[in-house]
Amino acid sequence: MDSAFFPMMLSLKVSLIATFFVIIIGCTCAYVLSQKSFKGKEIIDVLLTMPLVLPPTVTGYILVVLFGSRGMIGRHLYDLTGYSIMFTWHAAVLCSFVVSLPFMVKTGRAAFESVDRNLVLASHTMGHSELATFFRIIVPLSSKGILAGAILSFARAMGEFGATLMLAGNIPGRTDTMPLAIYAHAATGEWDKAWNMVLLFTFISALFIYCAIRLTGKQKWAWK
Amino acid sequence: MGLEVRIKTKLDGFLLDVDWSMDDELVVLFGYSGSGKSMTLKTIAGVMRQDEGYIKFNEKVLFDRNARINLAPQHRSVGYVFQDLALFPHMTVEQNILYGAKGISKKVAGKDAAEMVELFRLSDHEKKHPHEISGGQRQRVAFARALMSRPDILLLDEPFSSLDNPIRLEMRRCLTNVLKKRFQIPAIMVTHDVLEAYMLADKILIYANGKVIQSGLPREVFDNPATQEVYELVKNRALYPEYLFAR
Amino acid sequence: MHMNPFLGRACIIILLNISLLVLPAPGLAQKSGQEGKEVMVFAAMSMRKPLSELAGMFEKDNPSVTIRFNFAGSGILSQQIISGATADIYVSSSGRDMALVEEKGLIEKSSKHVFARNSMVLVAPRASRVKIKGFKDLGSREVRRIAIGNPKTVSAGLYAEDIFSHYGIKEKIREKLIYGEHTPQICDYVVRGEVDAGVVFFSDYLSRKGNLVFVEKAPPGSNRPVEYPAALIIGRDNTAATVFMGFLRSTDADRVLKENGFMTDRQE
Repeated sequence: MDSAFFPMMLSLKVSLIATFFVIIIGCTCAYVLSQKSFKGKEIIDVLLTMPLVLPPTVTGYILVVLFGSRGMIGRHLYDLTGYSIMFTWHAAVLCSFVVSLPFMVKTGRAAFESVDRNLVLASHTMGHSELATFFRIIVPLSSKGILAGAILSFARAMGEFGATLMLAGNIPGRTDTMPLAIYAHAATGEWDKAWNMVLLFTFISALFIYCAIRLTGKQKWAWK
Repeated sequence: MGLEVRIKTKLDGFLLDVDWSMDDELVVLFGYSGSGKSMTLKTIAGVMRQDEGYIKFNEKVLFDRNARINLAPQHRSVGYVFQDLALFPHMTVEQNILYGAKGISKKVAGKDAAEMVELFRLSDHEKKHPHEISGGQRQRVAFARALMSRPDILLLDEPFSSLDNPIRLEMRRCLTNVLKKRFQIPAIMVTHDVLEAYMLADKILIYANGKVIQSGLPREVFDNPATQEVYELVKNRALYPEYLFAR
Repeated sequence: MHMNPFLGRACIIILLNISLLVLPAPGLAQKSGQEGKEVMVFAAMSMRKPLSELAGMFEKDNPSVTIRFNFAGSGILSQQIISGATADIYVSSSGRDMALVEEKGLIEKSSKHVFARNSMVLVAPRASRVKIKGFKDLGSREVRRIAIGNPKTVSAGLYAEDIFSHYGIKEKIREKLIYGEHTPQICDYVVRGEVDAGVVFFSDYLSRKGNLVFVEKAPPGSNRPVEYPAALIIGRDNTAATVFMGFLRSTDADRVLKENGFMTDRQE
């Protein structure tokens, strides 16, 4: 199905890239939230959770205000480089990133918190830096949780629609991710063209959710 | 010189206010739960914050509020044996021990680890995971790991509390052997087992409500409790037959 | 013989529920069209302002009637009607979309007429870095993004492509095209400076005059006629709808349309 190929490839590309950044930044935030205490910690937590609860159109609105060609951040970018993120697939990556980040932060934080704090402290007293401790102790013991978070984030990134429509627009051949393409086909009565994508999407999402559920079962290191 | 500990910290309404020192000996912090013993250990290790005071070991300053020195736990050169041992479940015995060897070249570390395995009688168990070995063996792994980096100070937080009695006796012997024969470093142990305190300590510090209310040689403290509180703490020693035959 | 009390209660509840289903539910039995009180109008987005105003005027003179609107790109609307959506009147912004609905035999042929016309204009953002003097300049390298309607669903897009063909720049600017869902959105993109230029109806330009720079009006003949056919949907039997259709051709309607930048066939 020709008309489905580009949206599928675009969705995969956008979601993979967004998830990559989500993992890096999400794990960092999750680490800080799980290991440190500081003033304003709960405010940061609220901010990072917001995209989970806000309607995607509100998220989209805020992103346009920030990154539009005359937006608070966008206009400086435009003045300096002539580049605007609007109507590009980069905007789709940004939207997917913003809406999936909370999944990674929440799941990651829970996973990191499930690691016995004494193990972390023991590692520190043995001279290992926080970074080394993170990679050699925390990550291996929370790997299932992190993986589940990544899978959920990817699934959410694939499904992003509202904010993407506002920032990237729905330009065939350039920014029409699968959800947007399905919408456009359905809106113009081309239901059969949308069908293949709907099937694929449903199947992939179900698969991902299943994997995430299996992974978040209790991590077993039953030596006690 | 030795180890000088002066800590004043307020935490959730609890005030820890202690000032004591020690040399290359085994000091026991003895008292009821919640009296500040573990807090002291954690503060010396650098994993709990300290409001005021200083911690010095010979020439090295680990913490000094006035001089604004606060070494991270990574740089304090302390060996810490946690109450629940904190062995890494995803690593083998060998890997756990090697993990303690930060800053030592791979070759030397390998040799040291082999020595530790020998010393703590863990041969034939190197490739096993913590959940596959016995309580006593796990204890020995925890010791080995803590001593791998040749720390300046050894901290033990109720190290034997999760063990059965016969093993406990064995472990006490193991500890004193290792300390006397191989590592002559200051060791601080927290326990609420009165017999253990008596048997192992070179010096005993009685903790109550965040303060040290009596200190001295075990025999001195036990035979001459300074206050009613201390008496309450040590009176059960008479129940242990070992006490009557000891020292 | 005692009846199990639980069973007894269950029977009563079941009977009550059945009776509720059978009794006529108040307030739900309105068959629109039969009483002629509500008129559902599917109209092109570019008609939103004048039609809303006209509906208000009509409702004032006919207090028992309520005019309801579904505004969208006329391509979308035609698909909705073909899929069976409930509409009394269809106002399209292009002959093409009306023809799609007509082919399926869904309109009252006798009711169809063009009650307004429009023209296409090229607009640009205020304080734009890129200087555009006319449609021809769209091919230059400085112009990076041009907003038009999606030709599949938005008539304005159809007309825009006609104009581009006329100037021979259609292929050249293909990469620069950004599609909007309807003309107000295209205006928005231009006003916000997200694009360097946009092609919209003259009526749209008027509605946002303060924020847009008028560049050029499409020369006559450069695009197929921009016309707004309106028609009654077949089988609705809605007398109020028929009256409203008539109202759209009145002098009052004419005035409102002209004020909003549309043109009508009526000679002054």
